[in-house]
Amino acid sequence: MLLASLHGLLSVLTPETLEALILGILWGYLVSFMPGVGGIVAMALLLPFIFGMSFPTAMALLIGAHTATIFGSSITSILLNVPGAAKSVVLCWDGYPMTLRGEAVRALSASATAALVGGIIGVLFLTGALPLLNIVMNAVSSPEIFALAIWGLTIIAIFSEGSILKGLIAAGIGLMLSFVGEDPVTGVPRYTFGSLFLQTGIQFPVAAIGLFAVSQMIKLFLRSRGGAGARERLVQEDHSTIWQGIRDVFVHWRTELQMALFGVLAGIVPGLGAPVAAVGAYGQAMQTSRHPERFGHGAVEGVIAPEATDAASEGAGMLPLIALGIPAHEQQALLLSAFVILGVAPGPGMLTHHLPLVFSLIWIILLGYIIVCLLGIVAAPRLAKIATLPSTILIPAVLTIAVVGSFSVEGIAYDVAVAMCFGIVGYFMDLYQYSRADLVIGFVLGPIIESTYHVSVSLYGDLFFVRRPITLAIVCLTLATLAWAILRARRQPSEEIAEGVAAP
Amino acid sequence: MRPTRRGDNAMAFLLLALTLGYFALGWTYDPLTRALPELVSGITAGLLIVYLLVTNLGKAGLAGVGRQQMAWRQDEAGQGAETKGVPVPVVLTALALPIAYLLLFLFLGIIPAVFLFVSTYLWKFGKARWYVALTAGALSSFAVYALFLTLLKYPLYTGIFRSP
Repeated sequence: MLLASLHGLLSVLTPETLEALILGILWGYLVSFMPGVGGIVAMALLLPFIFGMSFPTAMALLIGAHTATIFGSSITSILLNVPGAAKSVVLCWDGYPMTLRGEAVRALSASATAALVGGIIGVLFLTGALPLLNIVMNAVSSPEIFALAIWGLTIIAIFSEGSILKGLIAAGIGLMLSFVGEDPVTGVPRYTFGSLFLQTGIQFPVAAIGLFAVSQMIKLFLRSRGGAGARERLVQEDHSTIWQGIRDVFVHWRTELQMALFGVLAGIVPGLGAPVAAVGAYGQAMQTSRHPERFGHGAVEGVIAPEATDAASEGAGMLPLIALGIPAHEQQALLLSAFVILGVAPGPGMLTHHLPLVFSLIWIILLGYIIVCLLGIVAAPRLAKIATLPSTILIPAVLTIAVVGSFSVEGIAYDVAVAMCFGIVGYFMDLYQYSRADLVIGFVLGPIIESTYHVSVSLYGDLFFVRRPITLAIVCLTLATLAWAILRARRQPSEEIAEGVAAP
Repeated sequence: MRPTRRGDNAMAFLLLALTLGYFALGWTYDPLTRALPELVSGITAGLLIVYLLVTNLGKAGLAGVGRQQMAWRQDEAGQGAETKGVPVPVVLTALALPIAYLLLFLFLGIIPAVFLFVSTYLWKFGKARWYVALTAGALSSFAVYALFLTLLKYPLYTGIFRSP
């Protein structure tokens, strides 16, 4: 195992591979700011260049671009409340409030450091536990993934800002929106009203652009235009430092370690998906925190937890891809096609006869994260200035990016209309405290929930969640958490109303 | 514009109507196709009904609902910390911005839309001088053009009348 790891490392530490890695990272950073033009576009455009390259060099180019776009989507989530990828939605909940508080630099450097440390921990753990992880990989299947997705959705709805009921309602609406389009099982078009455009469903980047970017700009316009205390800028100035963010990760080392390990376990489960892992990590961090009430209001642990999980799960996510040929997300699907181009066939034999190749991938991911995160830490003070731009510049700039970004998802003009409509819907949702984040999480998890539900029912019957012990345990955990949250909430309003009456 | 109890009720009723419509439409599909959508929309409709009952009839409810009720009671008694919201014409202008951009995009295409929106916004709301606004508009549309040329894989959208 150690020898294979060393061989893998040596194959990566060549001038061509390192050069390809840095080029990929710079390319990924360049495209990462464009919502709708994310990792998949960045990687797809690099695909023609890998012909003739060696396996480590080609992978370095693609994975470098992918890693940079992951962090790039974190940047837009934290600074502008615009998630560039589904897994980055969670970062908006605490990263953006930190920006509004003038702590964008701290949030960005905490995010980069958490990703760096999480990536390192994840790789180390993965290397040591490789033989055992096969057992975990085989123990988890569709019923468990279904239960985990429901758990993640419920946890986030419960602990989101405002009413629990509204959080659950928003999540339900998100799920309902995800069912628009072709049924993944029967292929029957649902809720399309005969429209060809809706046959492929509503695209996540388009909905996210509208719900977050466009509605944020509507809010910013209103803040800058009307009422007392109108503010021209999102943030007047940032008074935090890089070192605060770096220190935060080591102060919350337990959260970092737990979430990195959680990320490894989440990454090796085929089909679980990064959004579920990120949401689960956030919920878990909130539940185990000494101050759960801070989450959603700029708690730095809310930034550290999902970043550590994401970073750790990237390396671990290579296992099901290589061993089973199952991609966890579209970027991995592209990597799979790159494998084919380079003459590498994924399968169980990879973990036994081609371990150096597996380790070369893991080392590339680790080195990629180190470079991306160090660049992110260094650039944090400059990046934070984006949030201090005056609204007269920010509003037309972000709306332009929203129009271009939503059009570039599929090249269809209707997507721009959908994004703008979602923008108006997002404004009213925010006004009446229906969590947009819960809606987006429901939207993202909907296809996973539906496909695993159908597979589970066909394999184990309608009561599949009772027949599988792990699934039953997760379902019980979900119900227990829901009951606890309701009981806690029933006590709170009485106390607050009593305080409100007593106050002068 | 600030949230009021009446507005909140209107929003909840609208969502309930849409959810029930979704449920009714789903009933036209075969059982396997409609299984999960019906389940989810049914639960969501139930939650909306519970929310409406709790906020309008109950004294205390789930977290956030209670706090909201308290805020509405204070507002209705004129004791709210902020009783003035943004004027309605300003709200309508804010909501019209994305619609205007969309219409420009659909009818004129992406490059003219970017130029017109950016320069008009800077001139009208940013109080920029006309030549500064026009320059910014031109630079923005050039940047978008360069983006399509080098990075994006789709042809430029040229508007309803000129697109094939």
